[in-house]
Amino acid sequence: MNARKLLLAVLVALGCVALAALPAWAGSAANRKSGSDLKIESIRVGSKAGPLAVKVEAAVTARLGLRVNGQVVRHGFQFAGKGSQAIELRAADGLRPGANELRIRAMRGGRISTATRTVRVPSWALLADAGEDATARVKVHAELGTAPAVGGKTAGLRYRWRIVKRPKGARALLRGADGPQPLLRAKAPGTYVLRMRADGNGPASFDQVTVAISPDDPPIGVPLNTIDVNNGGAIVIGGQAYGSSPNGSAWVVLQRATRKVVESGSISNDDGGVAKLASLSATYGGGGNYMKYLMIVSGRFGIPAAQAGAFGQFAKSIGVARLGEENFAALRDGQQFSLIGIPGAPSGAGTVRIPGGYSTPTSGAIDGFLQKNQAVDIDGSPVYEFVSPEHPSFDTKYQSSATTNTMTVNGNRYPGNLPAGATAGFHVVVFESLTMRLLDNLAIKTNGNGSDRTWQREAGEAIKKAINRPGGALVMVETIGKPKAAGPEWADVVNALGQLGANRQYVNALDGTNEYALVSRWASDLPPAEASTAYDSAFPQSYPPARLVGVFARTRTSTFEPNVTSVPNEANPEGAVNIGLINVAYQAPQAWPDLSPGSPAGETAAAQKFICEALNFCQAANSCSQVRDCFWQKYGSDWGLKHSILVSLGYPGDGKGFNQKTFTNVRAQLLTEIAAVANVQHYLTELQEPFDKSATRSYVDLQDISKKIWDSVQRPAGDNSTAWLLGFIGKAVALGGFAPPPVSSAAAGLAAGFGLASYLSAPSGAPILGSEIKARAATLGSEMLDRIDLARKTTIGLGMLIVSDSGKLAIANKHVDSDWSLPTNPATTAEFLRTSSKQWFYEALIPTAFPILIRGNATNARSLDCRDSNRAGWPNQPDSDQMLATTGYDTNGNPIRSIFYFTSGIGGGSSPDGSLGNAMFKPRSGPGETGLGMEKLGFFTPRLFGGKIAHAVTGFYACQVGWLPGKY
Amino acid sequence: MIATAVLACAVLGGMVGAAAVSAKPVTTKLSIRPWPKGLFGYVKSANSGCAAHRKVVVFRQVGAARNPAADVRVGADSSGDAEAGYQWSVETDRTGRFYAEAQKAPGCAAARSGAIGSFSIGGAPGGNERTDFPPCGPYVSEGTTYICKFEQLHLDLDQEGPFNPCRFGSGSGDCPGIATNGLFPWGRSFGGGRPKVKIFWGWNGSSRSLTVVAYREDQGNTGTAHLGGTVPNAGSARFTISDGFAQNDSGYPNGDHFYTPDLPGQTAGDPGGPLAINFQNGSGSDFGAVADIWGYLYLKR
Repeated sequence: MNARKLLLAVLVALGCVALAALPAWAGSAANRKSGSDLKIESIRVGSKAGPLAVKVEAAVTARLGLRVNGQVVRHGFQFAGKGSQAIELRAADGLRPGANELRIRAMRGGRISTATRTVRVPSWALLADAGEDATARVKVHAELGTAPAVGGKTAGLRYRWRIVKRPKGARALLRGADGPQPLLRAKAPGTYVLRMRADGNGPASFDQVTVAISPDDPPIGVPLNTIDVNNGGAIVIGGQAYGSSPNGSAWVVLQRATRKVVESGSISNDDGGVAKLASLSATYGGGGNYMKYLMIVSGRFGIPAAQAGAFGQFAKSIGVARLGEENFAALRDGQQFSLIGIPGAPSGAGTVRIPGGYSTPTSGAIDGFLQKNQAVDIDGSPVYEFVSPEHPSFDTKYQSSATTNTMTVNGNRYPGNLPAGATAGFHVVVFESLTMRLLDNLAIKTNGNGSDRTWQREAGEAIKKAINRPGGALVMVETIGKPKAAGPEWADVVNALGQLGANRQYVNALDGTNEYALVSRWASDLPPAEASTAYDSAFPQSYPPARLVGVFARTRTSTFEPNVTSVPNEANPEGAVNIGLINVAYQAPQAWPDLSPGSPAGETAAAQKFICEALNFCQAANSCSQVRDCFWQKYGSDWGLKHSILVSLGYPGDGKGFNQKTFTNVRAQLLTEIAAVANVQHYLTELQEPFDKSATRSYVDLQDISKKIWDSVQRPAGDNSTAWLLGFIGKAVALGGFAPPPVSSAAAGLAAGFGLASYLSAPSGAPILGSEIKARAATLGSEMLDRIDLARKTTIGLGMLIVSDSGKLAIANKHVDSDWSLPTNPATTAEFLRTSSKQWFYEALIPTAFPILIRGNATNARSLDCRDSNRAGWPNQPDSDQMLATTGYDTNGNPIRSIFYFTSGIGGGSSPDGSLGNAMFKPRSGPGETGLGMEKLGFFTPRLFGGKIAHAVTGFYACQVGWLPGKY
Repeated sequence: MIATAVLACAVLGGMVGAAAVSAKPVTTKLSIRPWPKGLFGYVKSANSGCAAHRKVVVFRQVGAARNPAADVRVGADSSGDAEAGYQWSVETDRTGRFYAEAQKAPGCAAARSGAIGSFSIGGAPGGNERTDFPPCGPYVSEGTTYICKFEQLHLDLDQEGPFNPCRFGSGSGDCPGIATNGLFPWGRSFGGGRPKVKIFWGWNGSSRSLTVVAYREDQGNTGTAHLGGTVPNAGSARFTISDGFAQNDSGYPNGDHFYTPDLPGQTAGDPGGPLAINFQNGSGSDFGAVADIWGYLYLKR
């Protein structure tokens, strides 16, 4: 080694020692950075993309907001690759020459991160303004850009527009390309990017606009069938077949914004074929493609075992939830299958159908519509999503007597009659959850002739056998008469229904005085629908007969499960779910009537056109071409005003291509229809208004509730909460159902609207209301309202759907004026929404601070003897935070009661404050202090406490739960 | 800048080392896998001197490709003797894409592993699937899901007997020990203490049977929980459970039973996959061993 190398080696050694001795703060600073959900990745000023382009590192589930110089930017960030989002800004967003302060806020899982940056923007860079991203239909003129201000710096500017990106081979006309507001008319759907160049005295200024050109689809969307068995198993979208093959599997990749098919084909079911699918997923899920494409894959011959692992990984890569044992068995057996997913999306974004274990051949085809979700957009255009039109309604107790019960599903009746001698039992109806084919209809006896214990053991076995079917059966259960538990054998009934997710305390409460109903799918992650007449003894209540009325909807595993349900009562004998609204949305289409029967078609068309123009429709650009198309294409218009204009519109005289009679007929028919459109639009708008009224107060309520809970315990370090959002809607329906009409009508309409919205997705691809959210207490309310806001936006799509069809519009209009009518004062509806939100907040927050639900074999938690005189178990557990409930029966039929309570561990310091239980469980009205009227039997359940429960046993050291956190 | 400087040290250090050795360096292979607290893997080489005590540095990939000059250094470890080879491990709670690198050593070539995706405890590399299941225990059947999370069970094992070390590579064996971390009732007893455990293994046809039993601290040899199943071989991380058991407060044989379905495509420690096991023999004069087991169990119904 020469001297130079030796010196180098010494320097290296010294340098490395110095690195090793770096102070700890260097590392901790890096950690803090990595813990943030937001980081500005790049900022480009005056580029060809626009005056200012900002790209940030943020997850797909992070919701971003931006203020420029304090002004909120109305258009949102777009996905720019996995872990990145980007936005382009212009003068209209608040940018000004010189220094501009950007403040970005990211919210994810209740965590808020912010990033600020000051950016200098030269005045010349702000000259170009291509306007906001736009959406248009094929063959319709779309006006782009913005009108320049009169005079000022834009005076004398020279403009030049050109299309810089278009679908391959697509033709498009650009008129007025040398002006500030050109017209684009595209003949093919797809994404078009146009660049505007503005030349003044300084450097050229650029801006870009993205225009999503969608096909001419009606609001219901375009039919989708993933397996056409008569056409080589092709995927058929809007009548166009893709990927047929004699023995392989079909695949299609399409843009979510335009449903334009960008690639399609078939694969052989071997290593190469599955690798091709994985490669497509990687291509369309990466970089700038992230979240912008939909991928559909289907096959008629399963997937061989050797490729199952790779296929499972591919399925996950497009957001399909992990496949189960039956799914893989079905694939191995050569069954049909279908997947619809978003390459790169988180789990839960995909839809899958793989029929496993069914006794008769079952289709693996997904059948429905690709429909636009008006709540979520990409590049300014609502995205296409799969929607199933099937919403079968059900009633667990359509008719009943002391020994009979009849259930209904979609109008079909399923009677159950107890055998002679039986006085009580269960009616159990079991369906295949994919097909709704009937598997069993049983009337199971539990009481009658003195052999009740034997019957009840048999009942448990019978229920277990009936429900444990391949594919996860859909089960409806209703008590017949009032079953009375007779002994320890009742546990078999409890365990069997427990497998369906039943609240065990409700089933154990069947002591000859109560009724119970349940609708659930076996092995489902979703909570069942339940109704019980039982109540916690501390606060006696009077509940209506246990009966469930509601609708089923397909989940993302294509299985039917209860969606929105209610319990009918005297005030609302039909229940508090507007099933009519759900049904009308997807009823068979009906053609519009002739506008002027007997008139020549040309005259009618001319009269229609005249009226259309008079209503300010049928214009050269950004318009609709016929009044009836305008109902949904311009759904947001003021249709009440349009009606007024038409009322005062007189016959213009001859020479317009139509006579007075034709004009009068056309006008009269359109007046009727426009009035109906205005009526339906008003109804759906009013339906959402109570949320605005209740939102602010709910925020305040949340702060109060959070404080109350946190004050009772030392704040937990990780204050994450998990809450079931559809649970909030369930509470709103339940509380609204107890109110008399018209408040109950509002609850029913909300339930129907949200039930339909539960199909649709949040920007991350997850169901808007069907998924759990995690949020810190401080932001739980805003998480809830954001999701509800998304759901509200989907009602725009519902409205468009209804007004696009003659039959739907007529029926909805008729109901709006009668049984769907809403309270004139939305505040009355807001009040029950506020109470529901309070109940929901408590359910979400209590298990965060007190995550341990304990069942103890004593009558009070304080009396549990944990065999440690110095360290009592729960000496401070307040009565209000406990529930005594039946957990079994002895051989004489006497109930065995246990105490249920929630804590943060074991020891005197683990118990909550008594005020919490009082606030939750005391009745909503009555003498003395009132509460929220929550039912203890429904609260002290593992479902609310992370799916877990512990058993404390008196008389043993540490009550056998010494493994809980000690808080003595 | 720090990473760049580290790399400079590494590269320049390598140059210095290379100057002293002129023979062709021996190839080294480096693997990387997730575990509940971070990442681990093995260093393999035809020359054991290139595998043993080799420094391994883990990086978090920032760009599209692995680039130690730009990527974030997460941690480092030296490879030590383990049943399946020379093992290294680094603890981290970060997410992202990771890879490991062993720099050149005298006579040994540098090695770099492939990159693996982000993960959470037991989560699939690169996966986004649900992992927030309730903890396993005797009352899962009273809960709301049939999948539960089996959080890390750490076993401190003694030698089988005098001068009879606890070596998982042996054809059969049984080692006593204590669970020093884990869920009730496998890793914590009813009273809150650390249960005694015993681990048994032997040949079972083409695979190796493996049973872990936890004993109640106040009731001698009465088992309160177990994990029974198979592993393909001594070096495998795949512990397929045919019967897991957690005794409840009603006493044996009451409690919940579990299994792992071993779904295609699910790696050890993933939901639906086998449990992951990491068995490390003792070294030097330590004839005992340690084992970690984690993953997800399915409830038998």
